[in-house]
Amino acid sequence: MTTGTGSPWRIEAIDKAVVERLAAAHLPDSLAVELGVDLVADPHRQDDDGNVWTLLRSARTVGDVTPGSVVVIGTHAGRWLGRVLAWDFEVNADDPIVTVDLLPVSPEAVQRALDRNRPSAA
Amino acid sequence: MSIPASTGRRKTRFVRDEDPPDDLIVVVRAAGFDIDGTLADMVRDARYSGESYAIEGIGGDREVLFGVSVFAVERDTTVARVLEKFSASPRYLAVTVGQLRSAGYPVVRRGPFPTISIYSSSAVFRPTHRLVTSRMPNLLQGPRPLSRWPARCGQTLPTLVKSRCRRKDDDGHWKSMAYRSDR
Repeated sequence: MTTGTGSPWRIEAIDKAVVERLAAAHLPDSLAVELGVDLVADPHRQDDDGNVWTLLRSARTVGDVTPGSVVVIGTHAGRWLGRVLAWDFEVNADDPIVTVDLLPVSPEAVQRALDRNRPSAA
Repeated sequence: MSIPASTGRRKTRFVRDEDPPDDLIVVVRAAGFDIDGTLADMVRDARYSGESYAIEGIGGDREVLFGVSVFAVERDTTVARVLEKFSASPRYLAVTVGQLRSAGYPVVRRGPFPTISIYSSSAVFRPTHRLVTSRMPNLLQGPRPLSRWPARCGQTLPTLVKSRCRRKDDDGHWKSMAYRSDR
């Protein structure tokens, strides 16, 4: 397990070589591509800590879903924002469990906030 | 004879030693209008669960958890509260634990959260990828004897009389809908 402890800003990074190995073997999840999300997951799938979980194979791009990344997750039920907490290799070294902390804001709300707060060009 | 699933290299789910009562309402799924997509999501959930998790039964026997998590609507909450995370989902399906049991699905309480898993025993459901992917849709929507899964929210449900769905009306307000059984 690679979960960070203490400050929520501190996340234990995955070794770069491991990320590159998994990325090299990865095929983008077709549903993730179709839905336009980083990971196929939704709040129906919850682990014993209350976090959303999925498998790395459900990613569109491995490098975008490393621990600490802010991600858009989704299924046919909708889209959500989350932050990747950890990759857990206990079950499978090639397809870790990815745990995601669900953020209580919608992607659309964040997009609207960013759109109205762009720095002026001057 | 079915082949019990190996539970090696799986994480063990924490299962609480208490049976949820038959009259407990559970939200099985929040869904969009793409019913086939919803079914596919549930198949994926069960497949990933079976690959990753096992539960420990009475006597310490471990069993692969081909499970789908559902949300218990406990006394201190409401269906609307459970659905707060699913504001983008226009419909949902809620049934009672008793209805799930009657349909042949074991139900276990797990974790510290009001989450329940309904699952298919590995004795019935061989844990190979091919069979998982070919049988789970039947489990959800297909022919007898695995035809009782109430996942077809928004359509006539084959066996469960009081399953409920909801959708947003033209003004964006939630509207509960009841669906009749066809039997």
